[in-house]
Amino acid sequence: MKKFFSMMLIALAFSAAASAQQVEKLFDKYMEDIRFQYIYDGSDIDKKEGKWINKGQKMLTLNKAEAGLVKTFSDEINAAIKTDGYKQTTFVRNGTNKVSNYIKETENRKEELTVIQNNETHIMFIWESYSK
Amino acid sequence: MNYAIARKRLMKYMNDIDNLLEKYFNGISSTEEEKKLKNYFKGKGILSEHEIYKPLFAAFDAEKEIKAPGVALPEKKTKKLFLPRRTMIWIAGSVAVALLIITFSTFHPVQKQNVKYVVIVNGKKITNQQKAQHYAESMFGEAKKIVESSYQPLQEATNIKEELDARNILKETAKNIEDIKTNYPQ
Repeated sequence: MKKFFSMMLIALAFSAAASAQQVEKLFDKYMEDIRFQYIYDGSDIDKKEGKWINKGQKMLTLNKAEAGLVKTFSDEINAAIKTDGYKQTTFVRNGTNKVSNYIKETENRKEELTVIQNNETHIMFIWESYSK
Repeated sequence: MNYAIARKRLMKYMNDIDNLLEKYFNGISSTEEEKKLKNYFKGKGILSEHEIYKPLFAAFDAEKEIKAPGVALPEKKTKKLFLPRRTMIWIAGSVAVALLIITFSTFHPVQKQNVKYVVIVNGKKITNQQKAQHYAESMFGEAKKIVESSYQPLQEATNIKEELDARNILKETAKNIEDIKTNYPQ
């Protein structure tokens, strides 16, 4: 019984590692890509914002890129958002800007995503993390 | 002939700016060189390859000092679990293995706990923390402006809807009538 329990625990660990967030993998994939700009801002870590505690934010930007690359990246973002189970909260189109917001919330953790797309040449992908 | 000379001059100019930018991001540029860069990004002749750096230098028009917020760590609560010794050893061993697996699979060498800002622009990391901070603040500030301006029409529509709410109008009118009756009794 003990051996079975231990094996289950190790198997769970493997599956947890394997199913690490797709959104986070996206940042890891492109952070050092020469076509992108990557920013990690941990300046407000542990700062309380209402009932939540800030755990940092990241941004990936494609600036003045070719339309094909922007579309590919946009598709990857949408796939990652769907796989990770984020829920869309808002979508606004104002002029040439399209802004979408997503959220994923559990009892102890909240993650928010913002996708800003301008025409077919600029895209900003922002991830914010909070915990209780 | 003139075209070749002009092209050669442009290449040299671009290389000069690239060298200045490299020195700037590594924190080894002189005051004179930084002034040259700021003037370049204020002007109209910015080359398309350098457009991505424009928000960074635009932010320097109003430089401000940021103070780090205080940190209050939550108190940890611990519970004591009473189990047979052998069982505890099995569980502890399994948890240790599980933690090792998770740690090695999610390890991120770039983001260390004590580094507040990590900025990588087109594959080049900005090593100077102050410069990285300025860049991060200007980019997140830019994103915030876009989001706010995009939601402004929605906010205005919500405000108008609240103002035109019949119940609020009737309530306000009733209040005004009461005020008139009180101030101007018959």
